[in-house]
Amino acid sequence: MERISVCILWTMCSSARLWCHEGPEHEIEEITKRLKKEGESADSYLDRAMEYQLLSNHAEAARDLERALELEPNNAPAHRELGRVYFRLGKPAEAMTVLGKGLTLIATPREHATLLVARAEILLLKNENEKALEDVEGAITRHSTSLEWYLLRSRLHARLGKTEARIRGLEEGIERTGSGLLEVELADALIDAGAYERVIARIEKKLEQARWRSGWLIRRARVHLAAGQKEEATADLNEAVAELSRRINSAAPEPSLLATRGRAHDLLSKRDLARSDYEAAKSRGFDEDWLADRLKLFKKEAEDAAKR
Amino acid sequence: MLKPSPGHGRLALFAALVACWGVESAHAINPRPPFARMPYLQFATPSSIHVVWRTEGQIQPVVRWGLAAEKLDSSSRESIITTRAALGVEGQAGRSAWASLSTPENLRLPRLHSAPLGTFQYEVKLAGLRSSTRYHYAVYDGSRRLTPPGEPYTFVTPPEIGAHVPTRFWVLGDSGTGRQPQTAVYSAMRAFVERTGKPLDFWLHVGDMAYGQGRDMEFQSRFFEIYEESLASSVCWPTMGNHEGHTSRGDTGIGPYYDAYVVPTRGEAGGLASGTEAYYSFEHANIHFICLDSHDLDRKPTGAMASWLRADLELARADWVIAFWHHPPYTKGSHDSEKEQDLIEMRQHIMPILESEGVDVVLTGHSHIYERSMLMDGAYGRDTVAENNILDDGDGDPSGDGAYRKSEGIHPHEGTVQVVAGHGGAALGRNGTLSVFKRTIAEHGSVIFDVRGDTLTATMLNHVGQERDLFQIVKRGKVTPVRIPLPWKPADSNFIGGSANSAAPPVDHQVLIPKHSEWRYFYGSQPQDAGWNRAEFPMVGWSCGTAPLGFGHQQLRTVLQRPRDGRAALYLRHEFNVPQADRVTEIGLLINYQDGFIAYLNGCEVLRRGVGPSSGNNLQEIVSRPDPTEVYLPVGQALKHLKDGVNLLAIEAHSAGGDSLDFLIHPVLLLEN
Repeated sequence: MERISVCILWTMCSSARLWCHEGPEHEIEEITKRLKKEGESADSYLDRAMEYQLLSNHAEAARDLERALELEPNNAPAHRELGRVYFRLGKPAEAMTVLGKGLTLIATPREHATLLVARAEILLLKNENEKALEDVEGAITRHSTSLEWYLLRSRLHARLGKTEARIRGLEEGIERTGSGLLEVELADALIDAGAYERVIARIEKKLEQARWRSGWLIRRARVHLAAGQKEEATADLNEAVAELSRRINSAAPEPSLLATRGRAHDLLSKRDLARSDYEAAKSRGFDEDWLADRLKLFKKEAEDAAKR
Repeated sequence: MLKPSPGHGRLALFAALVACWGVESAHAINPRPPFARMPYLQFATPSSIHVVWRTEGQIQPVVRWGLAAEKLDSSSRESIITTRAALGVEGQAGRSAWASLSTPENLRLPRLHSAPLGTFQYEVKLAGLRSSTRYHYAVYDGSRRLTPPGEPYTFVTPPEIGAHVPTRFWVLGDSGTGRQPQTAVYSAMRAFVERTGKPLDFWLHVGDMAYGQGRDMEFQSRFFEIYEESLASSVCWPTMGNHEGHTSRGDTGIGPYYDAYVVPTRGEAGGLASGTEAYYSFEHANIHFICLDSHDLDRKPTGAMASWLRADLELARADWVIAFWHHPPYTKGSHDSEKEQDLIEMRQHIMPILESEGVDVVLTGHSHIYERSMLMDGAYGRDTVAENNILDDGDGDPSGDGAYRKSEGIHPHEGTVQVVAGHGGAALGRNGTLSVFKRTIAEHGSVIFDVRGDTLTATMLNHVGQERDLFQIVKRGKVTPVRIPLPWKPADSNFIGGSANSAAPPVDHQVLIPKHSEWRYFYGSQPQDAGWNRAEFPMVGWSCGTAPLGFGHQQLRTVLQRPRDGRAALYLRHEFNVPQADRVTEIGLLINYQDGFIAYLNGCEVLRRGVGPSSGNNLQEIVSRPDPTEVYLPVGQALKHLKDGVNLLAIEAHSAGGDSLDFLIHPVLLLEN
């Protein structure tokens, strides 16, 4: 009983220290004091590592996470964060090792799943797509309601050309989470798979509902183009470009709008305008695979033209 | 049906500990048995609402409701009841009184993350309701009524989506300390509501509702017990703060925060289905609300949350769009949006989406202060600049510069007002002033929003009920936004070390070091011992002088000699007494100075203004302050250095030198209990 009371008091007192928190630097100071006064604990090192990450000080974060794992080798968040930090520090091999070790030590389904996803994210960046897919599948099996993981799986399926698996996976995600975003992703997956009849009704419905229509106009244009209806496609694409240009603040553009307008230009065969929008979107952090692929293609075409 | 409560003795001790803890927690009434958490409302639509509560042990949950308190003629069906339980894993209950509850059926129930063993949470959806209608309700265990008949368990359902109905909501952030400022802010809101005769339709909490780590017991004592009455009659729509993020996770949707709230994930309240409780949207009358998780999810423009936000806004057809989350994209309060990565990402990745889709107001917390911008658009850079990013540099007050104007409907890039409402109870702090802000007020408080047709009015109420700021947005006709190349700027927004722009001192402050006090001072060179700002320092060769001290000014009481180069350095010390340091909620300097200074409390730096890095002879830069005026500067960082008994305030004051002929320092120390 006494232990419980002491524990409650300790919890309250330790919480009170956090009320006056004033930014990561201050938090780091406070946690450092706590470590000196109360001794080392994995949680304190983990807390401090998270603050270092907010300041982009990944080297210090790594040191704290390493110490946290020395103190508590089964600490799942410490494994996950250390994996991510190592990767940011340009140490992919160490990242994979620490996540792999975490996966052998931590059996709780949810924690195990988050480690699998952390490893899959690294594998995706290393372009090891089959392995990444295996990890995401494992994660979804263990914890099936995280919609981000369904999106990650869809991206991997797309990379690997597994069009039917992508569609089935997204349908499963929609059933489990009800996410409207997965429905948008499913529409793209159906178009990519050439399943135009399955997708056109969805597109028309969204075009009726939406205040901003450009994304859905472009999807419909892709269907029109596949059916050889160039005139209808051009009309949709021109409408999309006009709407997107109204929405884009030219001094500080939103990257996804640039990417979307680039795609409309691209489908209209206005390659220079497309390239300009794509490059501007990429420079502002828009890193989707399809855009990278288009830019690669443009570059290759330019190089080939130069050779000729 | 209600099982015995083996933990009553433990609970009593816990209650005693809370009461003895010196947090002025007398207001925190423990839930009345058999409740472990009193009934509260969640997730309302025009035709439904959720009633949620907890009991210690299992009951047969029933909610009855009706149009009159004495006629509760509708009753919940089991099919729309979600039950969660804390029973541990099989066998964990051991020989305790809860062992009999650990049936295979109960062990299959969704689990409460960390509630005390034996806790059952019931979430009952009342469906088939009429919009804009007052209902009364009561909670039962089978046929036994649990909520007392005399208490006002009642709510009004939201109006139909799109209806032009006056709406009032309360915005609160960083409140969950359990301390006096939290309850003062709550009382001030309730008094305002009563005075103005328009009850809250609902409220938004912008995070940090359960310090320090969002644990289940912290939610109970610092949120549910404090706001019990309002929670029983109006829905609180939440967003997760970093303190809740210690124990709850956005990607898995698991933790005490996710146990506490029921929010729409499938677009049930309007908006696009988010598929997660971490972020969601809902509509109330003609307003579209968006809640984001700024704490622990991917904030990149291609991340799931940003993609959902874009898709949600493409569908929105309301007259108003209001977004809320925890980490402010613009602040110089207790946090700095130009330094901290999560704040920077919300500005650089999320704000462009919102503004290109026509957001009107963004509500955040995290920074323990009230900050409110002018009408702005497009300020996404690493450093926040006002030039060409302000569309109206007035105060937005209809009795001042006039309301902000936007076109009717939702249009891209017509301007947003940013409101940082992290002043709901936690210790205040301030690092400076951003040039996009019209108001920076370091006082505890909250914000009341009233939307009436095409006009939105926001009123900042401080903890004693004063209306400290008011702005309006009117959306009427067609407005063509014009970017202002050189907008109004808050005074001193470029000062090194932050702004000297005045905040108001706490209304109920005490003076620790009065005006015209006598100070010990050392002038002409730097004290030889680096510990001059510590209590134990022997003040050999130090003089006594009455403030203000300096040269070149008329009102000086201690005139110093101007050095040849004009660059003066003055070191000051003054002791003061604080009987009980943990009762102090704010400490601040009311100070007139020229040109810069650094303040130390018990040897630790707590504030600097007008000076660059380092100190003493090594000071790297001093910025001229040609027209000194008295300002109040809260010193949030000082609280942690304050101790019972005698404390020492030390100040080093510096003049910029060069052509400057003047030098001045006149500090007054205030505190709020």
